[in-house]
Amino acid sequence: MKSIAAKFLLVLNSFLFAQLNFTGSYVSSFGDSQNDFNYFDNRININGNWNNWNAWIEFEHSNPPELGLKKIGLRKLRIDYSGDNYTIKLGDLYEFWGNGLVLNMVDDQSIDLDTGVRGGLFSYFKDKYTIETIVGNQKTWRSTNQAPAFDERIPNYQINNNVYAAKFSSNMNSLINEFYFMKIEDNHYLPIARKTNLVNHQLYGFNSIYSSDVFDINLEYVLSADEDRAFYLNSNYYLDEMSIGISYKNYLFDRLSPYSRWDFVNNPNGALFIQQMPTVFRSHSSLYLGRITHQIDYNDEVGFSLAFEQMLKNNGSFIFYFSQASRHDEWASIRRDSLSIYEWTITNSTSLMPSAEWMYNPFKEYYFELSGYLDSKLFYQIAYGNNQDVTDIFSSQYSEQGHSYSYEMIQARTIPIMISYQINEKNSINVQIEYQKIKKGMYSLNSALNSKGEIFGSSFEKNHQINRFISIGYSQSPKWSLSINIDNANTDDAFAIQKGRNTNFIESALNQFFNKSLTWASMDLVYNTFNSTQLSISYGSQRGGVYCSNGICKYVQPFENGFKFGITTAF
Amino acid sequence: MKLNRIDGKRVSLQQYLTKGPILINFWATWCGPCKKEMLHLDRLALSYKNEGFSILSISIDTQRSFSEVKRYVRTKRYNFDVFIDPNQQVFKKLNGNIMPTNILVDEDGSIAWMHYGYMPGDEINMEKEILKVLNQ
Repeated sequence: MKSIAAKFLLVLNSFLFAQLNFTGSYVSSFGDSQNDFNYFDNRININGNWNNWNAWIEFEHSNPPELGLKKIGLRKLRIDYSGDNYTIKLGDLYEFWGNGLVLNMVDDQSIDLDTGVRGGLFSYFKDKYTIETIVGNQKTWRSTNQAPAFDERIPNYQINNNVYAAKFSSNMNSLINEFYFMKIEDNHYLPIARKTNLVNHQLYGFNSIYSSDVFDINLEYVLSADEDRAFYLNSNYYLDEMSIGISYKNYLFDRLSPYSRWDFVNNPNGALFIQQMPTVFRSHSSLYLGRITHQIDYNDEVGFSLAFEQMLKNNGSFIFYFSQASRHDEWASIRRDSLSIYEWTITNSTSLMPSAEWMYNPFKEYYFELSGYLDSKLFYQIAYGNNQDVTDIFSSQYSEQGHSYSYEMIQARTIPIMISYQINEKNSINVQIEYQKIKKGMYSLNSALNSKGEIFGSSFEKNHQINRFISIGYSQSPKWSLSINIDNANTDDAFAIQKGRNTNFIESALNQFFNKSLTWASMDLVYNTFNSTQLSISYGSQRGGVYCSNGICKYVQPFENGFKFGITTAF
Repeated sequence: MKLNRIDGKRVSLQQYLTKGPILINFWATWCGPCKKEMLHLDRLALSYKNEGFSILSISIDTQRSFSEVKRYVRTKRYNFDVFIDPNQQVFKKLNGNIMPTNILVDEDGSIAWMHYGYMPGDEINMEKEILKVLNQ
């Protein structure tokens, strides 16, 4: 009895005197514009730890949010316990396995993508071996025009998956091998039929990583029960101050016609949202290159990239990057019977390498970048990007007269330049200049009128769109920075519904240099009150357009003549 | 807390704290200011290495662009260890919200200084804070 009491007192003592720590952060953003792009987002994150226990709670008050659904209350909650050779997690899980070909849970608020799972994780590790299991439910919201109340800003379709996954891994010095299994029960809602079907997915995966001082290779292969597959390979070679990298992807989960390739509502057998796989093209820091990012098709894409990096003096570097991708199949409308009914049908295929022919929705990018320091005071980054992307195929028909077709292509040349000059210990000037020439439009050919050849119809009011971005900033470390940003285009989208817009005083003042109706100007002030508190105020307009984060793109509406306030603080 | 090092190994934060104070730096390949700051971080890591100070640079690039992180870091041959946090769990746990975020942790594991963002000249302030912790 005495022994039990002593043990109880020992446990109680460790409970009472163990160190209990709480940290947290608060992020608030407010926007009020003349075109009703208004938002008020607040998030509080609290992290606590006590002995081997960790807790994470996130509260949200967003009414309305910048992107996504309105939320007031508890957003995320998780409790973890870590023992000597095991870990238990309960609540909102964000895990990734390998390269994400099977499972990659992300919470990217910038594009309103949350692929987290609410459930439990158990991980047991001994020596070089680990076993991990995850059981839970994933509820993810997406915007789609295949469900009622479509809005790019507010998602209108819920994905509801039960997730059962297991992993075994061995970690032998320079070689890591992992095996995965995942079963998904997709409670798939069909808005037109107004019913929910249960769709089962089973994935089996293998991932292997070998690393040495001069060479590394990583390959991952995933096969589904329906024999759909994904393969990813990345290998890098390091020679003194130079590196060469090769990446290859071959994703084939569903073959969908050009009309239905983005329709995940009526095609439930494709890649899952929990699979966030490598894009195998570069993620850019440039504003304009970001706007024309290729939108990856996880259902059907084959491609590769080559990268070369050479270190230069003063921490400088030269980067060359080339990437190419396409779909696996050529689709054409084939006449099925005498009733003149045409059906999209696969007419040709490529299996291992991407095709450069427009019928395969090809994408190609060349990118060069030179960056470094001069005398530790002047930082420079000069780049050049050349992109070509067939984004849509509207028609493709073979007949006795020949091949009639129409497709949309974007061709762009972009030069982003970033310069930062440190005047003295505290003060610096920062300049960002970007130039982009875009040719975007529909190429079409009617074989019945073959004499005219291929016709190009620009998406803009002119043949090319020229975009110019200038940002001039002054900063005084560590307290504040002020910048003026001007984004100008020479022409608007020919199909823009709303022509003309309200202009602000900066745009009016610059009217003699830049046409104010095609200029979006803003001023930003950032102030660090304490080391871990930052305030930001912005006035002006921001151009709408596609915003991409690692190949996942979302249209963000323009923000016209308004104020934005932001507070970020840690406590 | 355990971190995923770029070579695929899982490493405990405590392993670094036993040697001395650490600076945790969150960055990403798409973050311009983060890359500007790296030259200075490299110099600081080298300057105070003998005092037991280390820098842990954690990339929050998603797993989708992990190969770019590896190449960038290996080519530059930085004097600090690089880790990955693709689903931003460590970033959230340490209250990082803005890129880059720098957190100075003293030997007993307490946060001595934290700073959001990078403006040229911030490295001078950062060095003063490192020296304060080293001289304690």
